[in-house]
Amino acid sequence: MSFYKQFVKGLWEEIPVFRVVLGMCPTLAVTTSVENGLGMGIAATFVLVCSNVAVAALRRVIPGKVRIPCFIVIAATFVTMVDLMMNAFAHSLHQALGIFIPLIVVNCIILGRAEAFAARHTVWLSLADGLGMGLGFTAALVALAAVREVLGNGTLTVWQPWGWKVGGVSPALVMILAPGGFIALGCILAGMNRIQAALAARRGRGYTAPDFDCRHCIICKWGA
Amino acid sequence: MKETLRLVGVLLLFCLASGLLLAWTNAVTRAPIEQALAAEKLQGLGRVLPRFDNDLLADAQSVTDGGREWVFYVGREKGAFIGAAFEAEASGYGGPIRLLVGVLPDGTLHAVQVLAADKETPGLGSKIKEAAFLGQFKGRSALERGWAAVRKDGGAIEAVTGATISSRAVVTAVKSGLEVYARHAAELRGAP
Repeated sequence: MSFYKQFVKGLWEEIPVFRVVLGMCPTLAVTTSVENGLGMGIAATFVLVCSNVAVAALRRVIPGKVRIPCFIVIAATFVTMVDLMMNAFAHSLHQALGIFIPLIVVNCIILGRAEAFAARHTVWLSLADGLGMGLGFTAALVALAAVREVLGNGTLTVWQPWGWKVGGVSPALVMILAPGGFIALGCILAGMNRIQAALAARRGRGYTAPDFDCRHCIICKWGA
Repeated sequence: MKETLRLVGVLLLFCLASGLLLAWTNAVTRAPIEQALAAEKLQGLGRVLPRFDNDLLADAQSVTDGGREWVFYVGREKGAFIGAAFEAEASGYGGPIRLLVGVLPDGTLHAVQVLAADKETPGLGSKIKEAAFLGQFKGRSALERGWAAVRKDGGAIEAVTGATISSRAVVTAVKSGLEVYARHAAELRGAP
Protein backbone atom coordinates (compact mmCIF):
# COMPACT_ATOMS: atom_id res chain seq x y z
CA MET A 1 0.00 0.00 0.00
CA SER A 2 1.72 3.15 -1.17
CA PHE A 3 1.73 6.56 0.46
CA TYR A 4 -0.28 8.01 -2.38
CA LYS A 5 -2.94 5.28 -2.35
CA GLN A 6 -3.40 5.59 1.38
CA PHE A 7 -3.59 9.38 1.17
CA VAL A 8 -6.18 9.41 -1.60
CA LYS A 9 -8.44 6.96 0.25
CA GLY A 10 -9.29 9.59 2.83
CA LEU A 11 -10.31 12.05 0.14
CA TRP A 12 -13.11 10.06 -1.46
CA GLU A 13 -13.50 6.33 -0.86
CA GLU A 14 -13.19 6.60 2.91
CA ILE A 15 -13.94 10.29 3.39
CA PRO A 16 -14.88 11.08 6.97
CA VAL A 17 -18.42 12.34 7.55
CA PHE A 18 -19.76 11.16 4.21
CA ARG A 19 -18.47 7.58 3.83
CA VAL A 20 -16.72 6.79 7.11
CA VAL A 21 -19.46 8.22 9.28
CA LEU A 22 -17.29 9.56 12.09
CA GLY A 23 -16.91 13.00 13.61
CA MET A 24 -20.54 13.96 13.09
CA CYS A 25 -21.07 16.09 16.21
CA PRO A 26 -18.57 18.83 15.45
CA THR A 27 -19.56 18.62 11.78
CA LEU A 28 -23.16 19.60 12.35
CA ALA A 29 -22.33 22.24 14.92
CA VAL A 30 -19.46 23.96 13.18
CA THR A 31 -20.64 24.06 9.56
CA THR A 32 -22.68 27.24 9.96
CA SER A 33 -20.07 29.12 7.97
CA VAL A 34 -17.30 28.05 5.61
CA GLU A 35 -14.72 29.91 7.69
CA ASN A 36 -15.58 27.92 10.81
CA GLY A 37 -15.65 24.65 8.89
CA LEU A 38 -12.26 25.38 7.35
CA GLY A 39 -10.74 26.38 10.69
CA MET A 40 -12.08 23.30 12.43
CA GLY A 41 -10.93 21.05 9.60
CA ILE A 42 -7.40 22.41 9.66
CA ALA A 43 -7.16 22.11 13.45
CA ALA A 44 -8.50 18.54 13.36
CA THR A 45 -6.11 17.64 10.50
CA PHE A 46 -3.15 18.90 12.48
CA VAL A 47 -4.18 16.85 15.52
CA LEU A 48 -4.94 13.77 13.39
CA VAL A 49 -1.57 13.86 11.63
CA CYS A 50 0.40 14.40 14.85
CA SER A 51 -1.60 11.76 16.69
CA ASN A 52 -1.25 9.18 13.89
CA VAL A 53 2.50 9.74 13.62
CA ALA A 54 2.99 9.56 17.38
CA VAL A 55 0.91 6.40 17.75
CA ALA A 56 2.65 4.73 14.82
CA ALA A 57 6.07 5.68 16.17
CA LEU A 58 5.22 4.29 19.60
CA ARG A 59 3.17 1.32 18.47
CA ARG A 60 5.70 -1.27 19.67
CA VAL A 61 6.02 0.43 23.03
CA ILE A 62 2.34 0.83 23.89
CA PRO A 63 1.09 -2.26 25.73
CA GLY A 64 -2.11 -3.65 24.23
CA LYS A 65 -4.02 -3.58 27.49
CA VAL A 66 -3.65 0.17 28.04
CA ARG A 67 -3.59 1.27 24.44
CA ILE A 68 -6.82 3.29 24.59
CA PRO A 69 -5.67 5.46 27.55
CA CYS A 70 -2.36 6.01 25.77
CA PHE A 71 -4.09 7.04 22.52
CA ILE A 72 -6.28 9.42 24.49
CA VAL A 73 -3.33 11.00 26.31
CA ILE A 74 -1.57 11.50 22.99
CA ALA A 75 -4.64 12.99 21.29
CA ALA A 76 -5.49 15.19 24.27
CA THR A 77 -1.94 16.56 24.43
CA PHE A 78 -1.99 17.62 20.79
CA VAL A 79 -5.48 19.06 21.08
CA THR A 80 -4.48 21.15 24.10
CA MET A 81 -1.46 22.40 22.18
CA VAL A 82 -3.70 23.38 19.24
CA ASP A 83 -6.13 25.08 21.63
CA LEU A 84 -3.43 27.17 23.28
CA MET A 85 -1.74 28.01 19.99
CA MET A 86 -5.01 29.10 18.40
CA ASN A 87 -5.91 31.22 21.42
CA ALA A 88 -2.55 32.95 21.14
CA PHE A 89 -2.11 33.28 17.37
CA ALA A 90 -5.58 32.96 15.78
CA HIS A 91 -7.71 34.50 18.50
CA SER A 92 -10.86 35.38 16.57
CA LEU A 93 -11.05 31.91 15.04
CA HIS A 94 -10.56 30.46 18.50
CA GLN A 95 -13.52 32.50 19.78
CA ALA A 96 -15.65 31.41 16.82
CA LEU A 97 -14.94 27.69 17.26
CA GLY A 98 -15.26 27.93 21.03
CA ILE A 99 -15.83 24.65 22.78
CA PHE A 100 -15.39 22.59 19.64
CA ILE A 101 -11.62 22.82 19.71
CA PRO A 102 -11.20 20.86 22.96
CA LEU A 103 -13.90 18.51 21.68
CA ILE A 104 -11.56 17.40 18.88
CA VAL A 105 -10.23 14.91 21.43
CA VAL A 106 -13.46 12.94 21.36
CA ASN A 107 -13.81 13.31 17.61
CA CYS A 108 -14.06 9.66 16.65
CA ILE A 109 -11.84 10.14 13.64
CA ILE A 110 -8.79 10.71 15.84
CA LEU A 111 -9.29 7.70 18.10
CA GLY A 112 -10.69 5.60 15.27
CA ARG A 113 -7.69 6.05 12.99
CA ALA A 114 -5.25 5.59 15.87
CA GLU A 115 -6.83 2.26 16.77
CA ALA A 116 -7.73 1.05 13.29
CA PHE A 117 -4.65 2.14 11.40
CA ALA A 118 -1.79 3.91 13.14
CA ALA A 119 -1.37 1.19 15.74
CA ARG A 120 -0.70 -1.38 13.00
CA HIS A 121 1.17 0.46 10.28
CA THR A 122 4.36 2.37 9.75
CA VAL A 123 4.85 6.03 10.52
CA TRP A 124 5.03 6.88 6.83
CA LEU A 125 1.71 5.23 5.95
CA SER A 126 0.07 6.60 9.08
CA LEU A 127 1.16 10.07 8.03
CA ALA A 128 -0.51 9.50 4.65
CA ASP A 129 -3.63 8.24 6.35
CA GLY A 130 -3.77 11.19 8.75
CA LEU A 131 -3.24 13.72 5.96
CA GLY A 132 -5.80 12.12 3.66
CA MET A 133 -8.47 11.69 6.31
CA GLY A 134 -7.82 15.15 7.71
CA LEU A 135 -8.03 16.87 4.36
CA GLY A 136 -11.07 14.78 3.47
CA PHE A 137 -12.70 15.87 6.72
CA THR A 138 -11.86 19.49 5.92
CA ALA A 139 -13.29 19.15 2.42
CA ALA A 140 -16.46 17.57 3.80
CA LEU A 141 -16.86 20.35 6.35
CA VAL A 142 -16.31 23.06 3.73
CA ALA A 143 -18.79 21.46 1.30
CA LEU A 144 -21.49 21.13 3.94
CA ALA A 145 -20.78 24.59 5.34
CA ALA A 146 -20.95 26.20 1.90
CA VAL A 147 -24.43 24.79 1.33
CA ARG A 148 -25.66 25.76 4.78
CA GLU A 149 -24.16 29.21 4.80
CA VAL A 150 -25.31 30.25 1.33
CA LEU A 151 -28.84 28.95 1.83
CA GLY A 152 -29.16 29.88 5.49
CA ASN A 153 -27.38 33.21 5.70
CA GLY A 154 -27.01 34.45 2.16
CA THR A 155 -23.25 34.84 2.57
CA LEU A 156 -20.07 32.91 1.88
CA THR A 157 -17.14 33.67 4.19
CA VAL A 158 -14.05 31.71 3.23
CA TRP A 159 -11.63 33.42 5.63
CA GLN A 160 -11.79 36.89 7.09
CA PRO A 161 -11.86 39.17 5.19
CA TRP A 162 -12.68 37.10 2.09
CA GLY A 163 -16.43 36.93 2.36
CA TRP A 164 -19.18 37.65 -0.10
CA LYS A 165 -22.87 38.28 0.06
CA VAL A 166 -24.67 35.98 -2.32
CA GLY A 167 -27.26 37.97 -4.23
CA GLY A 168 -30.69 36.69 -5.12
CA VAL A 169 -30.90 34.26 -2.22
CA SER A 170 -33.49 34.86 0.45
CA PRO A 171 -31.92 33.12 3.46
CA ALA A 172 -33.80 30.24 5.07
CA LEU A 173 -32.89 30.37 8.74
CA VAL A 174 -33.57 26.64 9.17
CA MET A 175 -30.40 25.83 7.23
CA ILE A 176 -28.24 27.38 9.95
CA LEU A 177 -30.02 25.43 12.65
CA ALA A 178 -29.86 21.70 13.37
CA PRO A 179 -32.63 20.50 11.04
CA GLY A 180 -31.02 22.23 8.08
CA GLY A 181 -27.73 20.57 8.92
CA PHE A 182 -29.28 17.13 8.82
CA ILE A 183 -31.18 17.86 5.62
CA ALA A 184 -28.10 19.15 3.84
CA LEU A 185 -26.05 16.20 5.08
CA GLY A 186 -28.68 13.72 3.89
CA CYS A 187 -28.82 15.30 0.46
CA ILE A 188 -25.04 15.20 0.08
CA LEU A 189 -24.93 11.55 1.20
CA ALA A 190 -27.63 10.65 -1.31
CA GLY A 191 -25.74 12.55 -4.00
CA MET A 192 -22.53 10.67 -3.25
CA ASN A 193 -24.34 7.34 -3.40
CA ARG A 194 -25.69 8.31 -6.82
CA ILE A 195 -22.26 9.34 -8.11
CA GLN A 196 -20.58 6.18 -6.85
CA ALA A 197 -23.33 3.96 -8.30
CA ALA A 198 -22.96 5.67 -11.68
CA LEU A 199 -19.15 5.29 -11.57
CA ALA A 200 -19.45 1.62 -10.62
CA ALA A 201 -21.97 0.99 -13.42
CA ARG A 202 -19.58 2.57 -15.92
CA ARG A 203 -16.91 0.12 -14.79
CA GLY A 204 -19.38 -2.74 -15.10
CA ARG A 205 -19.44 -3.39 -11.38
CA GLY A 206 -22.36 -3.44 -9.00
CA TYR A 207 -22.59 -0.95 -6.14
CA THR A 208 -24.27 -1.18 -2.78
CA ALA A 209 -24.55 1.94 -0.69
CA PRO A 210 -22.64 1.62 2.59
CA ASP A 211 -24.62 0.61 5.62
CA PHE A 212 -24.38 3.29 8.23
CA ASP A 213 -25.26 1.19 11.21
CA CYS A 214 -22.97 0.45 14.12
CA ARG A 215 -21.91 -3.03 12.97
CA HIS A 216 -20.07 -1.70 9.96
CA CYS A 217 -18.27 1.10 11.73
CA ILE A 218 -14.67 1.12 10.69
CA ILE A 219 -13.47 0.98 14.31
CA CYS A 220 -15.07 -2.37 15.13
CA LYS A 221 -14.11 -3.84 11.76
CA TRP A 222 -10.47 -3.63 12.77
CA GLY A 223 -10.42 -3.42 16.55
CA ALA A 224 -10.72 -6.14 19.10
CA MET B 1 2.19 -8.00 39.50
CA LYS B 2 5.15 -7.45 37.24
CA GLU B 3 2.85 -6.80 34.33
CA THR B 4 0.77 -4.32 36.30
CA LEU B 5 3.92 -2.45 37.24
CA ARG B 6 4.97 -2.35 33.61
CA LEU B 7 1.60 -1.00 32.52
CA VAL B 8 1.65 1.63 35.26
CA GLY B 9 5.20 2.57 34.33
CA VAL B 10 4.39 3.07 30.65
CA LEU B 11 1.32 5.17 31.43
CA LEU B 12 3.35 7.24 33.89
CA LEU B 13 5.98 7.94 31.25
CA PHE B 14 3.35 8.94 28.73
CA CYS B 15 1.72 11.34 31.16
CA LEU B 16 5.08 12.84 32.14
CA ALA B 17 6.01 13.45 28.52
CA SER B 18 2.59 14.95 27.87
CA GLY B 19 2.89 17.20 30.92
CA LEU B 20 6.28 18.51 29.83
CA LEU B 21 5.07 19.20 26.31
CA LEU B 22 2.03 21.08 27.59
CA ALA B 23 4.05 23.06 30.13
CA TRP B 24 6.31 24.21 27.33
CA THR B 25 3.35 25.16 25.10
CA ASN B 26 1.76 27.05 27.97
CA ALA B 27 4.94 29.03 28.60
CA VAL B 28 5.24 29.93 24.94
CA THR B 29 1.61 31.01 24.55
CA ARG B 30 0.85 32.72 27.85
CA ALA B 31 2.00 36.21 26.81
CA PRO B 32 0.42 36.15 23.32
CA ILE B 33 -2.89 35.00 24.82
CA GLU B 34 -2.91 37.84 27.34
CA GLN B 35 -2.08 40.26 24.55
CA ALA B 36 -4.84 38.90 22.33
CA LEU B 37 -7.41 39.21 25.14
CA ALA B 38 -6.33 42.76 25.93
CA ALA B 39 -6.44 43.71 22.24
CA GLU B 40 -9.91 42.24 21.95
CA LYS B 41 -11.08 44.23 24.96
CA LEU B 42 -9.55 47.45 23.65
CA GLN B 43 -11.18 46.92 20.28
CA GLY B 44 -14.57 46.56 21.95
CA LEU B 45 -13.98 49.65 24.06
CA GLY B 46 -12.92 51.60 20.99
CA ARG B 47 -16.34 50.94 19.49
CA VAL B 48 -18.26 52.48 22.40
CA LEU B 49 -16.08 55.48 23.17
CA PRO B 50 -15.00 58.48 21.12
CA ARG B 51 -11.32 58.89 20.38
CA PHE B 52 -9.01 58.55 23.37
CA ASP B 53 -5.27 58.49 23.85
CA ASN B 54 -4.77 57.05 27.31
CA ASP B 55 -4.16 53.45 28.30
CA LEU B 56 -7.76 52.44 28.96
CA LEU B 57 -6.93 49.17 30.63
CA ALA B 58 -4.39 50.72 33.00
CA ASP B 59 -6.74 53.61 33.85
CA ALA B 60 -9.65 51.32 34.66
CA GLN B 61 -11.33 52.00 37.97
CA SER B 62 -13.24 49.58 40.13
CA VAL B 63 -16.35 50.65 41.97
CA THR B 64 -18.31 48.45 44.34
CA ASP B 65 -22.00 49.13 44.13
CA GLY B 66 -24.90 46.99 45.27
CA GLY B 67 -22.68 44.04 46.11
CA ARG B 68 -21.16 43.87 42.64
CA GLU B 69 -17.87 45.19 41.39
CA TRP B 70 -18.16 47.47 38.37
CA VAL B 71 -15.16 48.27 36.23
CA PHE B 72 -15.22 51.67 34.52
CA TYR B 73 -12.82 52.42 31.69
CA VAL B 74 -12.18 56.16 31.78
CA GLY B 75 -11.20 57.60 28.43
CA ARG B 76 -9.15 60.76 28.08
CA GLU B 77 -7.80 62.71 25.20
CA LYS B 78 -4.90 65.01 26.05
CA GLY B 79 -5.87 64.69 29.69
CA ALA B 80 -9.48 65.76 29.22
CA PHE B 81 -12.25 63.34 30.14
CA ILE B 82 -13.98 62.18 26.94
CA GLY B 83 -16.14 59.38 28.25
CA ALA B 84 -16.38 56.23 30.30
CA ALA B 85 -17.28 52.68 29.36
CA PHE B 86 -18.44 49.81 31.47
CA GLU B 87 -19.61 46.24 31.15
CA ALA B 88 -23.19 45.42 32.07
CA GLU B 89 -24.91 42.09 32.32
CA ALA B 90 -28.47 40.78 32.44
CA SER B 91 -30.32 37.49 32.01
CA GLY B 92 -31.65 37.11 28.53
CA TYR B 93 -33.89 34.49 27.02
CA GLY B 94 -31.44 31.61 27.02
CA GLY B 95 -28.60 32.82 29.16
CA PRO B 96 -26.59 35.84 30.27
CA ILE B 97 -26.14 38.79 27.93
CA ARG B 98 -23.02 40.93 28.34
CA LEU B 99 -22.81 44.46 27.02
CA LEU B 100 -20.34 47.29 26.72
CA VAL B 101 -21.81 50.75 27.29
CA GLY B 102 -20.11 54.05 26.54
CA VAL B 103 -21.18 57.31 28.21
CA LEU B 104 -20.09 60.82 27.19
CA PRO B 105 -19.06 63.68 29.51
CA ASP B 106 -22.35 65.46 28.92
CA GLY B 107 -24.22 62.52 30.41
CA THR B 108 -25.53 61.02 27.17
CA LEU B 109 -25.01 57.51 25.85
CA HIS B 110 -22.49 57.20 23.07
CA ALA B 111 -22.94 53.56 22.11
CA VAL B 112 -24.00 50.14 23.30
CA GLN B 113 -22.28 46.99 22.05
CA VAL B 114 -23.23 43.38 22.72
CA LEU B 115 -20.20 41.40 23.91
CA ALA B 116 -21.84 38.03 24.33
CA ALA B 117 -25.37 36.80 23.72
CA ASP B 118 -24.75 33.30 22.45
CA LYS B 119 -27.78 31.72 24.02
CA GLU B 120 -30.33 33.97 22.37
CA THR B 121 -32.40 32.52 19.54
CA PRO B 122 -30.61 32.90 16.21
CA GLY B 123 -32.57 35.15 13.88
CA LEU B 124 -34.78 36.51 16.65
CA GLY B 125 -33.08 37.29 19.96
CA SER B 126 -29.74 37.55 18.17
CA LYS B 127 -31.08 40.66 16.42
CA ILE B 128 -30.34 42.62 19.58
CA LYS B 129 -26.76 42.74 18.29
CA GLU B 130 -27.81 44.74 15.25
CA ALA B 131 -27.43 48.48 14.80
CA ALA B 132 -31.15 48.86 14.17
CA PHE B 133 -31.83 47.98 17.80
CA LEU B 134 -28.70 49.24 19.55
CA GLY B 135 -28.75 52.55 17.67
CA GLN B 136 -31.78 53.55 19.70
CA PHE B 137 -29.62 54.05 22.76
CA LYS B 138 -27.36 56.66 21.24
CA GLY B 139 -27.93 60.13 22.60
CA ARG B 140 -30.19 59.03 25.45
CA SER B 141 -29.69 60.60 28.82
CA ALA B 142 -27.67 58.69 31.37
CA LEU B 143 -28.99 60.86 34.18
CA GLU B 144 -32.73 60.88 33.36
CA ARG B 145 -33.64 57.26 32.79
CA GLY B 146 -37.39 57.42 32.20
CA TRP B 147 -36.83 56.26 28.64
CA ALA B 148 -35.04 53.11 29.79
CA ALA B 149 -37.70 50.46 29.18
CA VAL B 150 -39.24 48.76 26.16
CA ARG B 151 -42.36 50.36 24.71
CA LYS B 152 -44.51 47.61 26.24
CA ASP B 153 -43.28 48.65 29.68
CA GLY B 154 -43.86 52.34 29.07
CA GLY B 155 -40.40 53.23 27.88
CA ALA B 156 -39.05 54.61 24.64
CA ILE B 157 -37.06 51.67 23.33
CA GLU B 158 -38.62 49.66 20.51
CA ALA B 159 -38.01 45.97 21.23
CA VAL B 160 -36.99 43.52 18.51
CA THR B 161 -40.15 41.92 17.10
CA GLY B 162 -40.58 38.48 18.61
CA ALA B 163 -37.69 38.99 21.03
CA THR B 164 -39.15 41.01 23.88
CA ILE B 165 -37.27 39.13 26.58
CA SER B 166 -33.88 39.60 24.94
CA SER B 167 -34.64 43.28 24.29
CA ARG B 168 -35.78 43.81 27.87
CA ALA B 169 -32.58 42.23 29.15
CA VAL B 170 -30.46 44.67 27.17
CA VAL B 171 -32.46 47.66 28.43
CA THR B 172 -32.30 46.39 32.03
CA ALA B 173 -28.56 45.92 31.81
CA VAL B 174 -28.00 49.39 30.35
CA LYS B 175 -30.29 50.98 32.94
CA SER B 176 -28.62 49.33 35.93
CA GLY B 177 -25.20 50.27 34.63
CA LEU B 178 -26.24 53.88 34.10
CA GLU B 179 -27.61 54.04 37.63
CA VAL B 180 -24.24 53.02 39.02
CA TYR B 181 -22.47 55.46 36.70
CA ALA B 182 -24.71 58.33 37.80
CA ARG B 183 -23.89 57.63 41.44
CA HIS B 184 -20.14 57.61 40.85
CA ALA B 185 -19.75 59.96 37.90
CA ALA B 186 -17.98 62.68 39.90
CA GLU B 187 -15.26 60.44 41.28
CA LEU B 188 -14.72 58.77 37.91
CA ARG B 189 -14.22 62.00 36.00
CA GLY B 190 -11.98 63.52 38.61
CA ALA B 191 -9.50 60.70 39.03
CA PRO B 192 -6.17 61.08 37.23
